[in-house]
This record gives sequence, structure tokens and C-alpha cells, in this order.
Amino acid sequence: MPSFATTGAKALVLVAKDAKKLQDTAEFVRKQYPHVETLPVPTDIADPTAVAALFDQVKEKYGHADVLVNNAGVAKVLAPVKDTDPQEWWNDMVLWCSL
Amino acid sequence: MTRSFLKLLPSSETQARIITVTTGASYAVFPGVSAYGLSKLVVLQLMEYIAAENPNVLAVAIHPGVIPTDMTFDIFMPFAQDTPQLVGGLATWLAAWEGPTRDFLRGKYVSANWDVNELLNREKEIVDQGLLKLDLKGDYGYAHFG
Repeated sequence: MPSFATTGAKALVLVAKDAKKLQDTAEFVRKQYPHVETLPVPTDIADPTAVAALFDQVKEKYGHADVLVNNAGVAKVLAPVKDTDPQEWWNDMVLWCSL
Repeated sequence: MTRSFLKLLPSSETQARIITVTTGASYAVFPGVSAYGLSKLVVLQLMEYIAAENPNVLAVAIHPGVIPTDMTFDIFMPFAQDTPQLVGGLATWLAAWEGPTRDFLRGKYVSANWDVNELLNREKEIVDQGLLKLDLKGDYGYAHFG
């Protein structure tokens, strides 16, 4: 986050599930890089409706985005496949929902 | 996210960047991390698809190094020597609009542990030999049918 803020970006759209952490990050950017606009949008990226709403906001405010950073990930399951719970394994695996 | 981002671009000529975080565990097997590794394998290959389907997009999959965070598996902690600044530097270098072209890295895997100037110097080798992308090891194909 700080790296992108220092590059002279016009705006950073911040996307994550946790609204509080998102606000904290936005505050950090605003304090350290006051010339960079921030738009925090709490979003569950596995929910297509939420993602559509997020990009509606991006379209309304900025037209489009230039750079997308796909940084989402969960990594809870640490066990040989045969010992894993199928649902938990699948939940970790469907990171590709960010498609 | 990727789909919506692409759909919002004003035209198929609009230049854009997609930086997706993958990992060395996407192509190297560490028993026990299959869900994580396979999900990152998917997004690594996905970047090659996105690059092939969208000539206007610099889509790259990056390995961030091993950074101590609260999601780092215990088994990797002894190796967690990298910093968020390192991967931030790589991501912003890839996403930049000025400077030498990074186009030859479209659809490829780039590690935060590599020297970007060395990467630039090895562009010809990377392009000619089709390096930094997934493939199947072995000798097979037409050449073996006499």
C-alpha cells in the first residue's frame, strides 16, 4: 500500500472484507500521502453482487481503474490432502473467485 | 474482480495493468499446502490467459518473497526474511507507465527476490526461450516421430 501511494497515484481504491482494517489503511494513506485520494470499499470479493457494486462506484467516481492488484488469499488448511476437511480445503482453493 | 476491472476499461486499446500475487508454492509442491498452492497455480496460469486475451493489459503473476505475517505458515517462518517494501517495489515497478518496457513480462511469473535490472538485461533470453511460464517437463512431441 505505501509503495503505491508514493508513486503519485491519483487515487487508491482499497478493497477488503474487513471494514475497520480498510478504514485504518485509508486513514494511514490520508495522513502520510494527503495528495492521494482514497476510496475504501468493504467487499467480499467472492460475492459477484458486491464486486459489481464496487466497480459501479469506481465507474461513477473515476470512469475506470488503471491498475488492479489481486492480493486476496486465505491459507488456513495445512495438512496432507487425505487429512483435510473437504469444505475447508475448497474454501481455501476458491481464491480464484477473484476472477 | 479481474473480469469487472477489464469490462470497465473504455476500449480494448486502453492500457492497463493487473498484478496478481502468486507464490513459489504454485509450481513447487510442499506437502500439506495443496489448497493454497493449487489456488495460486490457478491465478498464475490465469495471468497468462489474461495476457493472451488482452494485448492492452500487462498481466503479471508475482511471488512476493516470504514475508512474516499472521498468515505465514509456521513451516515457512524460518525462511520469512523478506519485507513488504520489497514486493511493493516490484509491484509498483511492474505497474509503472514510464521507463523501459516491461511488456516481455506479460503473462509471466516474476519473483520479488529477483533483480529487475537483471531481468531487463535478460529480456531476449526470456522471450526466445519462453521462460518464466508454466510448462510440462520432458522430451516429447513431433521431433520423436522420426
